[in-house]
Amino acid sequence: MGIRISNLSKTFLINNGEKRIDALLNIHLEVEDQEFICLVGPSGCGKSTLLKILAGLEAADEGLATLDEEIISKPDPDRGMIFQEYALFPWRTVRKNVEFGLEIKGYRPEQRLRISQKYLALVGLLGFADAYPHQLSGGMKQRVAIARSLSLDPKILLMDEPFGALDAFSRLRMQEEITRIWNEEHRTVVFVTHDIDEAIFLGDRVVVMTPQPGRIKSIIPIGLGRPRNRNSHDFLRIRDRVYAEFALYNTDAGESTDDETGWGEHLPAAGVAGAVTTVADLNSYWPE
Amino acid sequence: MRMKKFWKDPAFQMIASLAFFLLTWYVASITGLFGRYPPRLMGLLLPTPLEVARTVWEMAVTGNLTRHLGISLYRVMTGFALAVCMGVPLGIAMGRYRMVNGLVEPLVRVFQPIPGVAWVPLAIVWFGLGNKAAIFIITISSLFPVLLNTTQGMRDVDITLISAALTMGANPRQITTKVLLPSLVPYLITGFRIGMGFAWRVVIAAEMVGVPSGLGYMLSLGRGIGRTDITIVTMVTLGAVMLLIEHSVFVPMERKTLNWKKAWGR
Repeated sequence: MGIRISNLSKTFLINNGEKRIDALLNIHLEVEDQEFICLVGPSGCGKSTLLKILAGLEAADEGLATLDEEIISKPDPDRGMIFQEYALFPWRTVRKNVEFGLEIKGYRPEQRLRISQKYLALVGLLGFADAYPHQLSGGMKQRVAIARSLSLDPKILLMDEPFGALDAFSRLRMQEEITRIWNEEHRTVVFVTHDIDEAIFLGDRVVVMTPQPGRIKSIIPIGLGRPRNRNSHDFLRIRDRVYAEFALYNTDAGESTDDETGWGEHLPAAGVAGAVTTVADLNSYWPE
Repeated sequence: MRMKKFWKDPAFQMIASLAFFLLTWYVASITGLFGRYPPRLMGLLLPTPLEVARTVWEMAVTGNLTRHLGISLYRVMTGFALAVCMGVPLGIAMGRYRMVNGLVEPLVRVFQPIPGVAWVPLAIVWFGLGNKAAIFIITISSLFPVLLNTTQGMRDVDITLISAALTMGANPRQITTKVLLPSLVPYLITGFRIGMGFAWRVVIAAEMVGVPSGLGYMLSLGRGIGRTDITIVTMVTLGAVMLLIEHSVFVPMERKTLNWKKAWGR
């Protein structure tokens, strides 16, 4: 049971078919029921494409993905999706946004009210039920989107860089918030991010992905209890390990000149400076 | 508490500005700013505000003003309604299906730059001097603003919202009614507002040059029989009607969408 992805590939043709981009190549991954799994990697590694395929919004070219042994071919309320851009309907109030999926399902108004009430309370936004999305902060908007997805009682929750547009402080707050919500409403979560700390803070396992072609490089089990301390020795040890994965990726691609991710050029080539593995070293090379 | 200085009160400013205008009008009228004639003919060029007010009363009593206003209003509303009934569905279809867009867009490019008034001669030849000709011209000229704003709205629909609705299980019909149409509303309001303005402009032009009834006819009639006061009353009526439509229809509609319009700016 759970999500099973086998031999999945997806290719995009750009410039009228002149150039092929292997967004995903031979992806194998199994996600257990109620597992919180994080996909992490630089832009272009195919993590968002993989998520869209799981949502049924895009089709794979080869291979398949299944949820509870059923092949995923189109969107379904069983698979809720959270977008970086929140995707709230600006003409609906917070409550009406949460009730959108219930309207689609044909629930009666009193049922809708009961369910929206429950999930607005869960995300702590009961007091904003009648506000419009533009009146809310980014973090609040994303909480509305989470409540909206949960209201449909999905088996899995797909989150596509949900905190990517938030400032650093709201981001940390939302990471704690999602941990709390996940503790109350246990679901399978596939969480895409390019923030390594975020992935380690949230995930049961962290899937490290690399671009060109989009592949899974390694899967790192976290094995820490929740809530997690970002400064604990174990946390930093795992962080070191994930950073090392990316440094190794870079030495592998040392000869490649068309590195579009912008990561490679900040790192010394393997032959010159040797493998970069310590956090301190890496931080000094980190872009931004 | 200190009293607000009265000249900073918007209400005072409005009254002052209108009073200044009426005074200038009156002075221009009695001094012959637009040309000097023997005193008994002075009113022909520019009647005083008081004379115009008297004419309003006279026309209201005889029912001429309301009758011709009703005629123009009927033409504008019918022609505009036809334009909306054609423009909105066509615009949605053009945004949704590449093929419809490919077929219709060349025609839009050819006909859109032609001013609505330019259709008047043909319309009179085809439909005669009556409602049909006027309605035809109004429909043609208000169709394009409605259509073009609808297609623009379709182009600007947020794809993420459609994806979100799909992941919540929405079918194509629900996507249309619950995502597409609400997204279009601000664009439709803009299109309707511009289309309505065009409709009034061309109906006046058509009635002035051909169709012998309606407010436009009264405008040129006043000039023709030497009753400038009738022309001025008609102008004022026209302004008042357009202001009324603006404030009773479009302003409330815009206020309703204000709650969520800001989110479009992204």
